[in-house]
Amino acid sequence: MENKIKIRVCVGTYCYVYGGNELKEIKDKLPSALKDKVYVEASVCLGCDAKGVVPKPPYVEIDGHLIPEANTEKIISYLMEITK
Amino acid sequence: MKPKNMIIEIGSYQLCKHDNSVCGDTFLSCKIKNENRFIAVLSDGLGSGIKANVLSSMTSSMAIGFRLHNTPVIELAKSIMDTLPIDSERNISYSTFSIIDVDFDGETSIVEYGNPSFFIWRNGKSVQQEKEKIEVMQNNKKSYVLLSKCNLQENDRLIVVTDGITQSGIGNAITPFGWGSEGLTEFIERQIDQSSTVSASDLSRAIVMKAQQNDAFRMKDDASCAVIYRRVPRHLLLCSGPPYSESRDKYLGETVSGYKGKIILCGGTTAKIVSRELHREVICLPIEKMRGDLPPVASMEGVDLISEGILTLGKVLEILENMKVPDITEHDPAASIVRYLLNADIIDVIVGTRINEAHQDPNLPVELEIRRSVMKRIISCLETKFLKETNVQFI
Repeated sequence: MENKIKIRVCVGTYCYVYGGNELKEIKDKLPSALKDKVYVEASVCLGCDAKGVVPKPPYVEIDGHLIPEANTEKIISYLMEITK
Repeated sequence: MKPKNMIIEIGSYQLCKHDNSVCGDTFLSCKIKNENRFIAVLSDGLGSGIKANVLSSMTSSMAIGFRLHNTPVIELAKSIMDTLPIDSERNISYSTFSIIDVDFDGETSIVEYGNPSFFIWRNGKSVQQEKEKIEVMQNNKKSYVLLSKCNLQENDRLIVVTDGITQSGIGNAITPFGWGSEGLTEFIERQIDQSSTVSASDLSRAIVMKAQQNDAFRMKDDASCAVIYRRVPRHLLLCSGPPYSESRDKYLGETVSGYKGKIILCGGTTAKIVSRELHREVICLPIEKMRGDLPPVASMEGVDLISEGILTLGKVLEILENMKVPDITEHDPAASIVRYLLNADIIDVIVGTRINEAHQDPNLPVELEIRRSVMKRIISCLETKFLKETNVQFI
């Protein structure tokens, strides 16, 4: 687990309603080359509640890098980039 | 020394005679808040079926009514006996009753007529009680009611049953004369030995289930059991929502860290505030372990459950409002919260009232109601339907 890429999917209310629910199953949608390299967990809130920020849910964090308005394509392309 | 604050937990369970659809026993209880006392009545109507049900319902509701007005015992017993309709086959009117009056300090008086004797259970053993025999004249016939007074101390249980329990198993090879008070006593002793904190509802259910087993799962009579348990209350703290002013974040953290009882946090932001204030990490589940439609739960040192906020609370409210028997089998986050709520006696609620800007998005589902109103409905349901004591704070 230590060497795996950590994907954190926000499941706070706003993100969850805006697609975090589906993103929970992200692992099943990844190409097989990436599947074994990642570890997926939930997060109670990744920060959309900060003051003065216009929230762009759903948020996903991959090894510390925050992706707003995340979707499967965005996640895959970022994963491809960092595993190159 | 200040006396400990105790609560009275009342639990009951009953089963009908085999092939009957209504029970001939009735158990009623009520809490009189401004007089600080409880009244409970267990009555067994003559025979079984509808006729018995009518007799026992009448008896128990009359008894509750009379006790509410503090009618003297003799008058009460006489009125009940005189009022009950006379059975056309047996030419008698008859319905047993045990009336229990407990105040919050444990002072208890019990009036019995015809039911098996009650038990007082203290330190794992049954304690004998002195009873005063009071004569009551009914249709020129003498009958007696038994009057006892006692004080329920911490962790005492008062157990009443109908004869369907003590006479269960009659005619069996092992218990030719029925389970009897001795069999029942041994059973209760074993139950309490196994778990000294068994709740009133679990114990009463266990006793009735055992009676059913004695009768080889075809009950020969209606059987009921009620348990009155005086104990230290179980506390629960439910926090949801960020405080209106950030200066109150510290207070939220301190309340959580200093609380003696179970703690539930509902809401990602709430959990983050507590995590920041107490320097305790929120531990999330790996995605594979999630179940149900609701956002998953997380955990934190010293906190029993962390869930998402308003979606989960909405579901909690739905479960509470639609619940018929306090029995819950689901395992999603909302069901877990309900289980915690129902197991607690005193529920402290802290509602943070800062409006979450993100939730005002008109594209969000309408079910995302304002936290304050959802919490208010949950609290009112816990108070009125489940008789919990609640203390609410808006911060």
